[in-house]
Amino acid sequence: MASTHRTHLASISREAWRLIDKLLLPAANLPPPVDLEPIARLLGIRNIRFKPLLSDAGLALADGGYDIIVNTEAARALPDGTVLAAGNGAWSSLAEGLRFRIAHELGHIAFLKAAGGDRNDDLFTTDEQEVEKACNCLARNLLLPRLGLIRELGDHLLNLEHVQTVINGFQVAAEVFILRFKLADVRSYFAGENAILAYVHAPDGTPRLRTCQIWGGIARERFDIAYRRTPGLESGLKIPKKLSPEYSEQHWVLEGHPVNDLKLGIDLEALMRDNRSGKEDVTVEWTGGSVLPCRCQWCSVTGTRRQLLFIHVSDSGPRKEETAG
Amino acid sequence: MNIGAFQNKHKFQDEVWGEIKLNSLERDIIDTPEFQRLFRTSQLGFVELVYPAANHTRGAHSIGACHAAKELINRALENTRNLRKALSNDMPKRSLAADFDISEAEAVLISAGALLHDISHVPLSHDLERKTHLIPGEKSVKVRSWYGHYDKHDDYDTNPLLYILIFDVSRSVLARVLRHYSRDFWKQLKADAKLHHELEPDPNANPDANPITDPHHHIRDFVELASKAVTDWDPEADLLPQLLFHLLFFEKSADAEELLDKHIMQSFAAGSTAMAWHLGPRVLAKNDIAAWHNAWYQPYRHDIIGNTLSADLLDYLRRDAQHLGSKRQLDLHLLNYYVVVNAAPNRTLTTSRKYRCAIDLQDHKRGTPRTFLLNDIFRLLDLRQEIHEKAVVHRVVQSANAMLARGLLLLGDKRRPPLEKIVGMGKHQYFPLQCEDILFAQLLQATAVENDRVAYRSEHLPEAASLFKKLVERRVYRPLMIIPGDWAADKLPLPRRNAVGVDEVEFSLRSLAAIVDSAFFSPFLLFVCWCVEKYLQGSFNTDAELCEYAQMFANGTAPEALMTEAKGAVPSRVIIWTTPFKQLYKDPALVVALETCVAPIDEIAKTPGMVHDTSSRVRLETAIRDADSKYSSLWRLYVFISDGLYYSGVLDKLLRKLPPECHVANRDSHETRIENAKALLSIAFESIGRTWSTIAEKEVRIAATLQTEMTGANLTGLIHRWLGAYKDGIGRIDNLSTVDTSHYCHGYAHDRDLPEEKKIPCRDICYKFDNHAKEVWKRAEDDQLSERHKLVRFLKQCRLTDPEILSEMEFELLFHLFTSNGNPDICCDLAAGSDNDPSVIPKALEALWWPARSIVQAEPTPISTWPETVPEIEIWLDEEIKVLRPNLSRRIRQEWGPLISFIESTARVQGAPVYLDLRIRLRNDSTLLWNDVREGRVLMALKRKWAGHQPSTVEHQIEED
Repeated sequence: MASTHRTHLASISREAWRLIDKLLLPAANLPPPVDLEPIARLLGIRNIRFKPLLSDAGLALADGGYDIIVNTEAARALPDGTVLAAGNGAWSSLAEGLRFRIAHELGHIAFLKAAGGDRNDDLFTTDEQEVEKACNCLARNLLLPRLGLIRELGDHLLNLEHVQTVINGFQVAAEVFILRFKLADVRSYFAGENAILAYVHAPDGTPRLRTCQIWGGIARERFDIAYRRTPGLESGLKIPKKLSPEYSEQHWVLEGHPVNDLKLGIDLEALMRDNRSGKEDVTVEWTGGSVLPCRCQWCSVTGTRRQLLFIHVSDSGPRKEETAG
Repeated sequence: MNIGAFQNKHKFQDEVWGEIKLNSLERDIIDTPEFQRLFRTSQLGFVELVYPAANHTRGAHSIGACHAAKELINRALENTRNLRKALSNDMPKRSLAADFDISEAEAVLISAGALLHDISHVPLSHDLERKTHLIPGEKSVKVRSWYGHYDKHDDYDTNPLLYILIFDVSRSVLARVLRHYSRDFWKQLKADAKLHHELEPDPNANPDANPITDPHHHIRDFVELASKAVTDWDPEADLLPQLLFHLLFFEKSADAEELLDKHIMQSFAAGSTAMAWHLGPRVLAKNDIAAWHNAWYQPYRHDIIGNTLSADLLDYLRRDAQHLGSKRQLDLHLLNYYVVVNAAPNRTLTTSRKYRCAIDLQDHKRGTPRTFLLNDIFRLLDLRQEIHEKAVVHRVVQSANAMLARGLLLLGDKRRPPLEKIVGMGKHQYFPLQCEDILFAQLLQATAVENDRVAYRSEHLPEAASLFKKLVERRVYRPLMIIPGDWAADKLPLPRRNAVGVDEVEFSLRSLAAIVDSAFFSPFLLFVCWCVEKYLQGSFNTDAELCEYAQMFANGTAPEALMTEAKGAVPSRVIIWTTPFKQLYKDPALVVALETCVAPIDEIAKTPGMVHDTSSRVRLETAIRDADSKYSSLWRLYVFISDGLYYSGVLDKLLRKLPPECHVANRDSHETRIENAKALLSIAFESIGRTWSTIAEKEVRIAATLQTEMTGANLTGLIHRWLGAYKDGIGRIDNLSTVDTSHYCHGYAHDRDLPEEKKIPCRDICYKFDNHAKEVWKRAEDDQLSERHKLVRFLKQCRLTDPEILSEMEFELLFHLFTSNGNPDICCDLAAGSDNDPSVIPKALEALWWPARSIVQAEPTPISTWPETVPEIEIWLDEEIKVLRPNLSRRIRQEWGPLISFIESTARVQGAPVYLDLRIRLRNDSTLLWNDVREGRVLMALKRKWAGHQPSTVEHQIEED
């Protein structure tokens, strides 16, 4: 039974993805950010309304279409009673957090349409959490469409300053940007790189790794797989469910760990705490007595306790450790 | 061979069957006072209001059914013998035909059963009875309707009438008749059970006709069992009544095969409880009960009486069609293929074989299906559908049903005559006289407590009396909405489930019928009707005012007097009404035999592999599809309103007649009111459909839930959802109803200021030809001591001085309102200030219709009590979150502890606004299609509002897979 649901979910997810891609196509050549309003109109959204809720947001039936209802206590929400109609440019001033929230709701509509408009489809009751996750993926695709993202990034993926500009240009949160690469369509495009890009968050003063994207076999071997073999970290390993071909791994094994757990041979925690931006060339341990030269770079993103961390593996790859003398 | 008492020698003339012959037992049954009552009980109830000739009685139908049963038995005997012969050389199929003949004694029993099948009917056909809805599924659920206050005539576990009529020799002549004939019956049964060779050979018998040597072996076990001498068992007195009761009650049940004993009510006496009853001596060990039951029970006997192609069906199809003036008649050609067959031919043990009556669709000689019989079967179903469509679901008939049910609801448990009185078995009642007229006399008598002013005012008795009087005078309510099943299934959000073999539309409509008729949604739907009634009578100036008021009720902020009034409201002039969805090829099932299958016709059509012949299968499927579509449009959801509410109204008229300085600005026109009322109702149906879809997904005890009234947060949440959807203009479904309301909407028939073309008269004949109030006004003016004089004085105070603006009935209505609400003081007090402030006049007039609202308008809003301690908060929140979708309530429960302690600590400082805020959030959430909510977020939302808490990061909130 469960596998039937999963197949059903995967096929509807794929259909929703196709629908979003189709809606994105007319504006594919426009500069970022993605204008959500025309897409929302086409999906039948009439307004965004702000109301006091307990949940973060939701959808309500409205005038033959739908309204997106956002909790007035959600981040960057507008006051109770505010109505932003779709189609008159009112959405352009939405904060990035709200853009994601709205894109997520648009994902719900796409899902609903893909399910033939049947709100009572089992999918929406038995697989709620899976649908939520799939809607997040759709939201990332909406805010960072493949064509636009590749065009804007060009071959500057490893340039942290440029990445910052792209993130700001698309009006998305850094975390959204990183998670976007978990989807196969863009990840494969940058498959030749050897690097990790991580989002670091210091809620308790200690910079901790939250979300990360790893490109290339060497970087993966060093910063992901190696840790799966490390005793003590296995308990935190979660096996993600595969939803659709577009969606793959979800959790990084080091998620939640202090940055020093990366074992870069420097006190990265102290460096990141003391300097909002910085750069260090490091030589990290590699198997069989070899070492791996890397460049470590970090910079702050909006807010005070959030940073992006870039570790670029040297093109030369691992080398034998030079002994002194 | 028949013994004397059971020879059909008494001639009766029947309008449908011509001359029919009955035996002495049947003649004596008909002559009993108990049976005579059936000649005063109508067969079709309120159908008579539409088809004046449809006034035939249950008595005539019962006699017809008895004759039809005899006909069916004869045909079954002959056809089964022929079938046996046809299959005698076909070993695999041989077990299909019954290997016995229906015995003479069984024939006597079955035809007496057909004669008595309606003996426990209440007056007015089924219209008084509480209906049962069946929601199909893997495990079908039966839901009792909330409306209809008398147990069904065949619900013997609660209705003792049949038991008393058949067994109680002290009260029932019929019981004495049955006891008397039991001796002959026992003799006949024993004679039948004798081995064939022990009997004298019949010289006229055709030796080829019956290849079996022992035609009555199937009753022998039972006869042996019954012959055993037991102290409290005498077959010569007990056998016939017992077997008849068993036939009419036990064998009707779908689970009759497993049913050994059952608790049944045996007396109307207060405090009596249901007692176990079974076949045979009173005291029996459990194994013996099973032995008695198994030795006798076979489904084919009851098949001949009812629940399939049966005597009941044959008679009522012909009789009803004739009385409805239909030229289409039933073709009895079908009976040539009526046989007794083994219901499960693959059951090899002869003892476990169960035999049913079925239409044999297989031509065994040629090995092909008799497809022409399909035409006959579906023509029969068509005729049945036609009768239902023309008569049973006719709007006038259903309107009368709705009015009767509402009248009984208004009467309340205390005043409503008990079932015992309804059927004429109460003290000082003359049983055979019990009929519809006596019923209405009883009901009106129950409302006649004018000398008890408190009861009269508090118990809705005037409204109930008005309904019963209008029914007697055929002044039925008009439809405001009629929503056919296919439209409802298409446009309303209803639960859809593809249970095996259940059509999706059928499932949705059965669910809709059950929920509209349920106790669960009754408080909500009554509240909606109450709001609509107040709005249509003009008590709210606009729909926005209505919404505001209903919102106050839902928030619990309305004045207490109004809260109480709205909670117990049973509106008498707006009625939502429906009937159980029926699929007439299933209810009852038409059993057919095709190839080697014996099953209801729809099962045969829908179960893959049952029918191998492609053309037969395709024809069956097509015919079933056609029947499905017919029945989905046959079922309807109705909203009826009184003619008075189609009228733009006395209040409206009075307000318009006021001098200009008193005019109320912005009052909705009556046409707008009618349109808005339809929107309010359609959104109410939309809301309950949506709510039920959510509940049904997680609720396993569907019947129990639907049979419990909705309360607390569930109710208020639903009201919020309803009002929210109406105010936002969402959920408004266009073209849901088939009624052209402009056809009924009418203005002032007696208004001389109104142009002729606008004087569309009321269709209610009493209003239409009403007198002017001139004379009655004059008399009241002159008689200064009368109550009516006070009314005239009040109207003059309100600057209404022209008696000709009112008709006599309108004047009487005003007088009734002026006095029966006990509020001349309120109205006069309000009008007293009119000299200085003319704007109070409309309020004074409105107070006539709704005094409670005027009284409390000035009262301060009462301070609601909110929970204080943690357990109280837990109970409160537990009740409040019932309105939510499962994902959000699950999330709340995950945060339960911290949430409760946060509410408690915050409310200690901030007070009631914390609860109000939480309630608003819950209500808002309940209106959403789905909610996105993540771990810890519920508490965070409240903390951000009440503790000024800011989250550490934005992204953390946004992205957290």
